[in-house]
Amino acid sequence: MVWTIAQKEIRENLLSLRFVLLFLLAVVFIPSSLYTNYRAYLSRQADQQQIEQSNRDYLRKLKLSQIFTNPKFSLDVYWPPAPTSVFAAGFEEIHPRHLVVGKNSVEYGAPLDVQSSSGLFGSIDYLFVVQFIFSLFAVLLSFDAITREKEHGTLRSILSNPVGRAVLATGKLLGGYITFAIPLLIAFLVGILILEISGLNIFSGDFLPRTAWILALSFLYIAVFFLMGLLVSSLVSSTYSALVLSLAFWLTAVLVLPRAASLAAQLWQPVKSRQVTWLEKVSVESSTEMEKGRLLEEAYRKNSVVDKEGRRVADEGWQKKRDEIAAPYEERAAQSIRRLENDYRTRKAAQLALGLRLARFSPAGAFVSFITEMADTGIREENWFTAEAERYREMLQRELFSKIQFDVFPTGGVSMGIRGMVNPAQLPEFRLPRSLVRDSLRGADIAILLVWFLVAAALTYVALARYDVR
Amino acid sequence: MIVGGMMLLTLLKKEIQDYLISIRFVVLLALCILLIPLSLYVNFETYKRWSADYNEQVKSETIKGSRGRGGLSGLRPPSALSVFANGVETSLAKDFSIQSPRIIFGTGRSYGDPIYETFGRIDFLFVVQAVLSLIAFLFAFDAISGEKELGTLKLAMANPVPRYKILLAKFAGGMIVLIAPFVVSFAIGSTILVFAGYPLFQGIILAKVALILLLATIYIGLFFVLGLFVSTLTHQSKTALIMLMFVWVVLVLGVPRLSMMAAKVLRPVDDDSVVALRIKLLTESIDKEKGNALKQLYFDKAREKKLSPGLLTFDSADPEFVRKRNEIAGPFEARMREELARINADQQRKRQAQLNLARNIARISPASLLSYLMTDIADTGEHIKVRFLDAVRLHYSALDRLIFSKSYQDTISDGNTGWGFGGNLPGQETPKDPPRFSFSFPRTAESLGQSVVDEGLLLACAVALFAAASVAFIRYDVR
Repeated sequence: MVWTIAQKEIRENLLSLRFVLLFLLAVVFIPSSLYTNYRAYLSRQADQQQIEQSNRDYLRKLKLSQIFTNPKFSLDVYWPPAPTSVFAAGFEEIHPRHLVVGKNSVEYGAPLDVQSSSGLFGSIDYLFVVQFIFSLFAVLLSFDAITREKEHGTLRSILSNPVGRAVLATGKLLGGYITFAIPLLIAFLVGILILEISGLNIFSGDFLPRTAWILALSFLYIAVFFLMGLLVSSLVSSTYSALVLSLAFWLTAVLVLPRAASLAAQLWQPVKSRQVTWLEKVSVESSTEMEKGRLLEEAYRKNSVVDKEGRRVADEGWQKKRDEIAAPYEERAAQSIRRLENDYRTRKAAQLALGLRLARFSPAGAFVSFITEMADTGIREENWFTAEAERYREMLQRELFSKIQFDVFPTGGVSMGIRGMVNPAQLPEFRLPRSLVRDSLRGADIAILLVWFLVAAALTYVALARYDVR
Repeated sequence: MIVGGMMLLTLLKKEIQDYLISIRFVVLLALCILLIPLSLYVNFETYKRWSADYNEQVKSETIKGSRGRGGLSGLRPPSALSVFANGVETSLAKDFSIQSPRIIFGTGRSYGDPIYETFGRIDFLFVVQAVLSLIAFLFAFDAISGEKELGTLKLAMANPVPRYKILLAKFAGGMIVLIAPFVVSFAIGSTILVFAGYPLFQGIILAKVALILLLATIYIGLFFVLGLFVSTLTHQSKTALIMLMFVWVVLVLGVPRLSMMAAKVLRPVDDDSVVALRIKLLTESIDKEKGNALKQLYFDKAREKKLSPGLLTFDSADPEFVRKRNEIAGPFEARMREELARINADQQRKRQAQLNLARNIARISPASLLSYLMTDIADTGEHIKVRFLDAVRLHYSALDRLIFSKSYQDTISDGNTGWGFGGNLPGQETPKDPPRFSFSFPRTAESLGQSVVDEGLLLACAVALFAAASVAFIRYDVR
């Protein structure tokens, strides 16, 4: 009986205007957005390779003298684009892809392309199409599933048969949902096919497993909205009310809530800006330099002699004296800066966590969070990149920065030197290990969507049981 | 006449009453009251932070300036009207620094704010463009077809009322009900802003805010009329609704994003980083050629001064040496400047063409039109981007003329050994206080003048749609 009802639903829906329009939108937008984003990915990849090559050349030709004469010496590290970004590219420079690793801290580097990273509109990607268009049409297909039948009088005809209300609900759910799944599946497969033809090897790496997860969650996400429409339809008796309520739900859940979350997080837990933190770091650095320089100058006068030509030359005890004086200052500066940096990072992370938690209340928020992580363009990826850059900085500290000595004297002298063996050509390159699928899997988001689904289903069954079918 | 006028008023009252007791009005009211004041307030808090950051940066710049190092970097001030429409304010570089011959742009103001970048932001522009347009459709979709279904349409027409008056009453009634909550929420939001310290009454800001409000009203009206029009095309409200939802998706979600994507595909432009690489390679190769040409001169000088083998020097005390050096190096440096200027001009031209194409394609949709218009007024639009980048390049040219061209940088190589020389050319004066970068917002007349076409388009669209709706309604079968 369930299947009969489902079949009727499918037949009705397949011939309807909304199905045709949805099919059109899906088949036009999904493959074309996948293809366009693939082209963008290729160009980003080419840029990345060029930049890495020129970076490598730079390191190879780097002379020691260039390093220790520059107190602000730093290396650039880049986050390579992932092929799965074809699903969720969004803005091209959505996350900082370029970090600058210096002696005491890791800072944001300049964006790779000023023009395209600052535009009025985002771009269309798969995530966008499913998140907005499919959810809207899911609601549009289901909002009158019950009320339409009630208004036509066919609801009581159906229920005058030995058909349980639960069976009716299941039949409608199944039928409506299958109508949905078809355009999505077809458009998706066409898109993947186009990608394969254009040169992306879908069988390489973990592309296929990630794609599978993305598709699966898309089905779950749409099911949630379909169910919510169905729920609203079983709560009210007029199609018109069902429409307004369903659209209001869609508006709030998809358009408003996720964005409002970032607003709320900023209000609740404001963080002092990066600019201010940076200025604080700079001021700590320069004040320590001055202190250190002053003391060193006095000590130099005591530990040096004037030679025949009237120039001051350091005596044997100088180096030890210098180290004695300089070490605590450098240590203190490094610690203060690390503390400022950690402070900022912790607060920022707390604000981020709050915003994410709020945004993921909405099924759209949870969906976006899951897909961006699975597509390797998510927030977790950015943290991973920053953490790896930190590790690289620590390695550079050990291998390079700790062996460089740079002192500024208040009267205007500068002393620089290298202690120990440093070979710039042998400095290890920055390598960002690829994250595994299981690391990108956000179980919490799946759970949130499942909860929405189950609660909506339960409420629908209850509402239908009490529905006045006359 | 009097009867006709009273009839119109009666119809108007009926329309308004119908809307006021409906759920959709409640939804509209709730969304307006919640979203508009909140988004205005939070955006203002963000703007205050940006302003504070900007002032901090200005202080550092002043310190740099007092040490004679000003001018080599510059800042872009935030626009106060970004509170209403973020536009490119959050993503456009907020500063730059010059390391001749490169200009290095900084990051945008919201760089590294992952929540905002993943989920997007709410500003007044978004509320109007996306939320209120959808609700306008919601109000309009069953204006005609719904009445037909209920049977009340033929009853209304049985009275001596011309059809256009009925349509007019529907339009006026719907507009009043749509606009009232919107304007009230806007007023509440603005009051909160003023209490929080927003300079609403400073200079031209009040006028611009009024203009923004006017544009929003026209935009909502346009969508409402569009909804009415579609409602007159079909006899079933549901069909009208589905068509309108489809239209909404295409106009609000689709066209604005597609316009830029299409422009990028139709008129592709190399990334800035690619161009920078090209410039670097060019610079290196010309430098090498120059070095080879200068080699003999430097070697001769070293021999003349009886320097130890492996040492060269730039003898600034010898005017003949300096003259010969300038003579040899001159053409190379001139060529480098020309090439650089050419590459940059080329890039700029291509970018502008791409942007123009995108804007033209985007004119298909009132939603993207609104974005362009509102961001133009708020000084956060694409034109600000162009203006800033142009100003930076102009500043660089000025510095080049005054400073960079008066210094020399020679790289000589002989087999495995290399020498580098750089400094100020003797006899050439460089200003003690290099010119500072300053960025000013365009005058109102200028920024409005650019968008006159778009404003006209928006208005024309609304009027045309109303005409179309009238025609369609006149032919409507009301039975």
